[in-house]
Amino acid sequence: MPTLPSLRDIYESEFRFVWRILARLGVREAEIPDAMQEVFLVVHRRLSEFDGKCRVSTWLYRICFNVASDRRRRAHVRYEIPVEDSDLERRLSQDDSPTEALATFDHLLESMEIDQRAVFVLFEVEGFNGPEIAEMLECPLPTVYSRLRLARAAFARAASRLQASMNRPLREAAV
Amino acid sequence: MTDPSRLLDQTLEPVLRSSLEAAIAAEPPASLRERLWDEIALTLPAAGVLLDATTSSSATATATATTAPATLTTATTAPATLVTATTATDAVGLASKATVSATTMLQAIETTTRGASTKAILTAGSTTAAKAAVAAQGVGLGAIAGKAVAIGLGIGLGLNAVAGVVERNWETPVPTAKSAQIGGVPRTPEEQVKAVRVMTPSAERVPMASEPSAPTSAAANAPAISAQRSMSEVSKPSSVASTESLDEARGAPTTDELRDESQLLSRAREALRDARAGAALEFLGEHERRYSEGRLRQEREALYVQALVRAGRTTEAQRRGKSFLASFPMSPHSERIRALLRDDASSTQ
Repeated sequence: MPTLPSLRDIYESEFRFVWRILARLGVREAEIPDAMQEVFLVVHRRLSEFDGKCRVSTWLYRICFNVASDRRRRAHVRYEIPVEDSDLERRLSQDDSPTEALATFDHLLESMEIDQRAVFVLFEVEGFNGPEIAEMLECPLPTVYSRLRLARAAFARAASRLQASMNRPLREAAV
Repeated sequence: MTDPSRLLDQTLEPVLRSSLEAAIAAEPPASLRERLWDEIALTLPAAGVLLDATTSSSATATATATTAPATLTTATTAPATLVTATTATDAVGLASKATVSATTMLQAIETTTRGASTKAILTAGSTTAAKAAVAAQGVGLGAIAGKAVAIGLGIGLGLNAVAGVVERNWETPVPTAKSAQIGGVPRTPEEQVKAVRVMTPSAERVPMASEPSAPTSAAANAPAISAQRSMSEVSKPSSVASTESLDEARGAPTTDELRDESQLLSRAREALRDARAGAALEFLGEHERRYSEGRLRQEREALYVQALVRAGRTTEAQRRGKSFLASFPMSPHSERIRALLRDDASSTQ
């Protein structure tokens, strides 16, 4: 019987993955450590249930997804301060650092439903392929592709909105 | 069915390309890995209990006279009962009773409050006497939001009276997210993982153990033991521990002392995070001088080894680490100390 990885093993090998996933699933940066702690404590609790039938990352992704979704739900109930295009564009105009580029990306992700967002991030950012994503999200492969299509469309729409709002103040500033 | 080509491989607006590339390149902050593990390790002994709740034996807790009491009962080999209550209710007047079976366990409660003082009670008990009386002294740490110190007393198997104190981040403001958890709102299982933050509405009583319970007045002054108090201590009876219960019940260490201990270690931890190993060692040395056998000594020792390694004081780190492992082989910190010593040994070869 294969030995189960320890919590520490999983933590060490998947720390980066968990951080990236949570961040791109919309957990705010300041809350990521808390959310990660949640994730790994779930891992700790459920480690004995992990049967090795799927990859650790698959199993872990589901936990991350649940934690992130739950946090998003609560954040909506409690307080949600959406980043407006105008805020973003003001920041963009001052700074084109990677941090700001990432903020832009997250802002664009906000235009997607969470399920689409999950597919989009796994495919476009994390580089998983369709079948792998289908396993992670426990949905049929065609669903993965259709979510990806919808996600890309939302991404493109949000991007053109952003572009438009970036151009406007520039003109105003010139007047 | 085949995958479409990735966006990154397509022609993209520059702003989109740079944003996508930024996401692909995003890395967690370097310091987070270790820091977070420390926090997780701290939570584990408590989580181990909380998470296995409802599996085996039963635990009961009753809280009365609170507007928003919350009860959490847990059970593993060492069940523990956690009672938390918000509002300004006098904790001692809570008349909390807890009956727990099996060995003693420890718990910690982290509660936050908006304005009103939070009272939290934690209890842990054992089969033998099956009577654990609890009292809590809430310590309001701020007018607006404070973290309450949960103090409880569990008497079990002649081992430890166990209680918890949340030991970290005393000085930091309480995030809203945490404050919002106070009202006894049921949350997801994942959330409950966070041992000390778990609350369920008082209406949801967990099945009671058959043992009778009775409060003991001694509990009123029950001092606390840190969350880090490890299972190894619990499972390893010692003369110190067995006498501790009584001493503690009479109020030997005060909450002030506990807070002081906690603050020293917090400062040491902060110094370590800022790569100031020397400063960390000073705080740890101070803790050792003042609280050689303090409640948080396991935590201190774990930090000590870490700080010594960072400071390049290999021999001392090895000595201290080995001595810790000999004393507390099953401590939640042991795994990390072993890893530190291993890394340290390999890096100096």
